[in-house]
Amino acid sequence: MAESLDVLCLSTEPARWAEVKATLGGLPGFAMNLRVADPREGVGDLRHVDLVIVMIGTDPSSGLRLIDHVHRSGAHVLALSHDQNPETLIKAIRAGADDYLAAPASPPELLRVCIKISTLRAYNKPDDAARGEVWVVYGPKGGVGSTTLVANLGVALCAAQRSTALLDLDVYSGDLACFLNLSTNYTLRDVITNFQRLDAVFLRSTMIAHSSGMHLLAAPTPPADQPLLEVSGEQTQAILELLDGMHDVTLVDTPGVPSASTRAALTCADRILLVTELNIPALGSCVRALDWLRAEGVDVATTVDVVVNKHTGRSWEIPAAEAARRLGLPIRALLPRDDAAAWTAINNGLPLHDLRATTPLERAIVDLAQRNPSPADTQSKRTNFLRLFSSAESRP
Amino acid sequence: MSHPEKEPSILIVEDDPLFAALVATRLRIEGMQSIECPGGREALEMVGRRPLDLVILDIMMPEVDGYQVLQHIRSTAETARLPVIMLSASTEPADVEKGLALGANYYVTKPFNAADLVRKVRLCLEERKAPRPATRGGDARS
Repeated sequence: MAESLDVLCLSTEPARWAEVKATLGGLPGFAMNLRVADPREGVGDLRHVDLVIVMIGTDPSSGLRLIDHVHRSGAHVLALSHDQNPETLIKAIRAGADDYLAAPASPPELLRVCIKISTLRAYNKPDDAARGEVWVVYGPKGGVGSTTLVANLGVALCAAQRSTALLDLDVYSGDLACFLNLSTNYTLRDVITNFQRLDAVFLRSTMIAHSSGMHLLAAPTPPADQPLLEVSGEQTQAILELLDGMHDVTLVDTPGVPSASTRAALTCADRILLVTELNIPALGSCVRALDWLRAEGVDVATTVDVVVNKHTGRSWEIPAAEAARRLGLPIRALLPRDDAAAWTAINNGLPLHDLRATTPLERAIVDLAQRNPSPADTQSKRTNFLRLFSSAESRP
Repeated sequence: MSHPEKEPSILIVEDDPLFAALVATRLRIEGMQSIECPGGREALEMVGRRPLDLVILDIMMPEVDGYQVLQHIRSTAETARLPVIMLSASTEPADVEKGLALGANYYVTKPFNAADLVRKVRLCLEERKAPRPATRGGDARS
């Protein structure tokens, strides 16, 4: 089946459009959706264009300016020129051209460019076989210890030889970097404000390494005098898709607020760790979150693990069995309350693993890191990402 | 750029193996061969022992950093003119100036995407082929 490519050809000389159109139309393996435009009348919407062909005419400067403009859209830019001067080639690359061919370009030359674009698609969207798992830690009540769990679960996963990425989606008060004593040069804000340039290399270059081996994309510090960073569901999915293609486990810390990014992360998660305490408000928030997840089509029975944090086993807590009954799900883990260990770790920017003695809390988190995926889980993962892609396709 | 020629050979000196692999894969798609080198110490041993067309050099590495590797490259007769692209998380003017003063052809600041880096690689390779002397310049924009 022919692969579809959206191509925009920009030239002030209509005669050259026909030349390129004829050559592109005959390339084997590709179905071209070709649009031609005179750049003096505007280039139009570049968002879904795979290849922009810019004809450099007798006055190279206008073509070079055009390349500089269109390459910022993220589309692959091919410069076509009769000018064989190496200086023009160098200027075209400086302006943003990804490829440069002498005009008229031969079919094999154009085919090579199209094959490269096709290969780059695969490079930017790894297939299912290359995917890891997305684990989202969500405490709908807030303040239930989700970030402590994420930081230490990440360390436990690394210790188990699983390559791990941490994504802090809490744009309100994300402090995962602080928990791990990491100073960040770049944050989620850099990714979102450069979203049209996002690829795996860009994403990795915004992440900071922790001594355990995991890498963190930190939340931005909320500026006092500016609006909060807005992260859309589409942007969240794109980031997760890239991280998932690079790591065994992508561990996501989310705010309690059900923002668009939190909802997107939850709906494409392979595993949701729903964090609660054994009190009425926290359990009530979890019940509402589960209702919402079911309404979104998430199979909560196979995807959600309920994690009770700060568990004391004292009489004033709601019994775990009663909590499980209210939630309609078993309790996967009871993390014991250990303020001494948790606070010492937080205030020193250390994971629990680096404290002097192993604590029951650390052991419980290590146990939580062990999850053997069953065939049902694998099927669930595939379905989740199919949902992710189908929602992307249905966007106007 | 798309003419079939000998594949350029590029050394990637980077202590993050995943990052190096991502760059190497992208260069391979562009028809370039790459050799991944996990650190500055290893780079000192590799440079000069095999023919290279370009070095992509991370600055922040343990033990031997990118500046030291660059100094070695420029002070060795066989590699003195070898194009070098430095990668850094620092946009401090002093750091950029240091890299360029030591002889880096380009200084690319993170974050950047693969297309940004490939363009710098192509620029270096084309500038080396061009009859005029190579233009040297930093790029704190990328």
